Amino acid sequence: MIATLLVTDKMSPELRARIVQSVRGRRGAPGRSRVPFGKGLLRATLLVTVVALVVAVIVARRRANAELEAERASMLAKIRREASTLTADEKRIASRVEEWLVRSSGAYAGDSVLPELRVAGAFVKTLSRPTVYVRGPVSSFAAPAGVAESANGSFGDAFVLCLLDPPGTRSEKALLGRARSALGGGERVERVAPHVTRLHHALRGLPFLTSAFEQRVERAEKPRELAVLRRELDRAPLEGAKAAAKAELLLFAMDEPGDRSQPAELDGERPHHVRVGLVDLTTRRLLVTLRRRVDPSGLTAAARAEYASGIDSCGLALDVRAEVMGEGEGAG
Amino acid sequence: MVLVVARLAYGRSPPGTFPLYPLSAAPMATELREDIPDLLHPRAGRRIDLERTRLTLTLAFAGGVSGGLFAEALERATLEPSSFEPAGFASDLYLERFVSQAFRVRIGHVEPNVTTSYLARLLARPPADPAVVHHRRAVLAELVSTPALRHELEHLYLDLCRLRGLLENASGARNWDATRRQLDILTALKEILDRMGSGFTAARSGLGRLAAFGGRVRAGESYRSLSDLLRYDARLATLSLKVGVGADGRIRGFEILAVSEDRENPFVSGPLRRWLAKIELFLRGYRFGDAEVMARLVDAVWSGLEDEVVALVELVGQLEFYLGALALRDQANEAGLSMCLPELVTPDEPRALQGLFNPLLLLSGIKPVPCDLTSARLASIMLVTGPNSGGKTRLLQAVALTQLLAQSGLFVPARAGSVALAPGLVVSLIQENKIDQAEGRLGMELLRIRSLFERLPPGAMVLLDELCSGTNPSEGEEIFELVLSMLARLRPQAFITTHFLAFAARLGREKKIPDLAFLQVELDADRRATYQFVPGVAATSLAGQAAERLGVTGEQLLALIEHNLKNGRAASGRGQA
Repeated sequence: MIATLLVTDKMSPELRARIVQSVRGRRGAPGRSRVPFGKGLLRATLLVTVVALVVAVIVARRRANAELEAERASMLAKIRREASTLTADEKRIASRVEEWLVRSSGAYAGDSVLPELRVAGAFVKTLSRPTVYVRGPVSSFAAPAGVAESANGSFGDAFVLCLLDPPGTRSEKALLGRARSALGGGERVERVAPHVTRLHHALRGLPFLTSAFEQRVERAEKPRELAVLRRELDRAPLEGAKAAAKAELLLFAMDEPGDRSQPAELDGERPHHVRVGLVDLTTRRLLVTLRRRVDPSGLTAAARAEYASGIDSCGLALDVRAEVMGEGEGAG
Repeated sequence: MVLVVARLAYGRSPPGTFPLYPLSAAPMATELREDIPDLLHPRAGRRIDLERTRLTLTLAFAGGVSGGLFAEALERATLEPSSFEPAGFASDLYLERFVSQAFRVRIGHVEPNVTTSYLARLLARPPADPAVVHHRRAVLAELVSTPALRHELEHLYLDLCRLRGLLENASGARNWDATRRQLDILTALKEILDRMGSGFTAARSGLGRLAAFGGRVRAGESYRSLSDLLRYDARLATLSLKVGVGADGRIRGFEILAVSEDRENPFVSGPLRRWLAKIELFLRGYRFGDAEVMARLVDAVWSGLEDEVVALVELVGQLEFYLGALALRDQANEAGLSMCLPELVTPDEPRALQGLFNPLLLLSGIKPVPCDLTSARLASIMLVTGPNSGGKTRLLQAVALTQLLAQSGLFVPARAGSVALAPGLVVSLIQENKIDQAEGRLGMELLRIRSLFERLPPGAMVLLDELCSGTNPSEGEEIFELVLSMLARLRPQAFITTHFLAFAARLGREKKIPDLAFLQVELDADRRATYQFVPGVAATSLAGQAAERLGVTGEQLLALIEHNLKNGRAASGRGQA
């Protein structure tokens, strides 16, 4: 057994004995240690404590690192899995859409409808294709920031509902019914237009499926940073984003400024023109572009107070359908 | 006169062929060991306190002491039995001063401080055993005949001084790195052992013990550990570097080609083990660090060599003894004087000292005039007469120091000659009155004469200056004659000076006292002392010459009186005015 680590096998027994004696500090007075036992015990305890703390810290850090890496791997897997369902072109949906919106927000070039849509059933069939929808003030579409703002405020509204599921008549009551349905939680819109996705979903969710976000995840060094990224990722409307990215059509409605000399309704609606466009994103063709005036002044006071905007939107949808499909009153 | 006697009883062997046996020697605690480098004695032994010196060395090695370690150890060292009592001659011969001035070791430009008190003790207590004297004479003779050995011995002494300085922290500077200081001590120790082991192999005298000691230690485990540790300290590993030098001659960079550790060295262990060793020491209550590891190793190596270092402590004093004797001889040679190892003869043989001089004069910066001293027998009583300041007292000092140095086995202040070893020495040269003395001058002198005969052994050397000069000549001469007749019965080697010239002449004519001889200061044609001594009794002490030389003639004294009277009258006149 080695009495001290200071001796080696190459040393003579005499030297080893003297080194042991020196280390034990018993040269001066036989039987009595020059190095106090208590001091050694205290240092041993201190050292064990320090080592235990160091080990605990190391283990904790390793565990935290493992958890961090697992979380990172999980996030990256999710991102890559979700992103793998999209093509590069689909991931660029926002820029493709913005290009059309910016272009359409400029000077209005006049109404146009692709003749093939006028064939019976063609428009309805076209409207059944995956579509991304946005509506907002025309001025907001002049720049990407405005597009995002308008997209954020765009939902499946009475315009979408009435375009896909027009009321049987153009009576105020019928229009009011659709307007109420659109405002009442949107269940009917969801049922009628499941293939119509908000542009907001694409703008909000697709950045999480890019390599830039992947790099942020990969570079996150602290669990807190990764937790923030995870929270953002979980909140991102990825499903909606993917659906929006795969949209074949762009449906937009751009509200031109209203006549400010006229009083506004309680929901802000006042007579104004609305530009409606339908773009085939796959063929990069403008299918429909129309400009119609909406005017809530003809509505009854009861309907106008709360639903002027919805009724106008529904009416606008009927105007579009009538223009493209040649539908008259009660068509549908 | 101070008369204190070194007492000795001796057996049937005639004086000079001893053995002599001490009557009152202090109990010896000499540990006879042949493995000790004892240069002073034919039977080697340890004469210093082993345990105490070892403890002091341990403390000095651990933290340094403020000087005195070696001196104190030598101060307490026991000496060879001696029949001499220093009180009987030391003060009359100014022995301490003589040693401090004579035994000044000079090696090149270095003049270390010698342990004067130890040397004075050695000289004041010459060994009773003639074998010791012969042993020392053989060492000195070899040092004189073989300059290379003296050179080695001088450098061994310098190495020992360096070791002493490191142990005693002679510089007094604070040691910022205790372990480095300890390694320096071990390095100095190794150099000493190496020099002892290799520098004295050709010695035939007692110096051969140095080689034997060095060889024994170097063959041992402790020395191997010492060498390994110093190698470990100096060269744990070797780096092979490739140095790149730029066009301007400056080093641009270097590259390590190879690193090799001295794996054969028992102190070398792996980096991990070295690190763990530090942890171990920390847990044992030491500081954490490489220095503490090295300190434990250094301590272990030192503890294996402590007994050898104790022997070196004693060796320092012994080297100073021999080198001091050689230094005195060198001083004499530089002054054109010679010193020799005298022939040791029996007291019955003739006295013959050529070129005898007084070393005290030489050390005072005065070139002494050597003289020849001869007589029919060494064991005789020499009555020395002559003028004042003729050199009688200086002769007695020279004879006494010659006897003392010869008894110690050293060179004597004479070109050649013979000396008979004596069992005691009594010197009385200085007459001092003490404030508490109970008797007058004569009474004190009579007491000392009584004391002399109470303790004077047969065959001792007795040197008395102006015996019985403290009373009227006629009565003093009676006591003088009595003392001489009694002294003759003890067959001493005696030298007695006197100004009782008529008395001395009468003794010469009557020849009633056996072995009584007469020496007188030789005078030149101008009746001035030549500081040579020839047989016979002086006709005059030339007191008149001395009085004239010192201004004590009638005319000179009268002139002084006239001068004082004139001054007195002048002072009286000023007082009346």
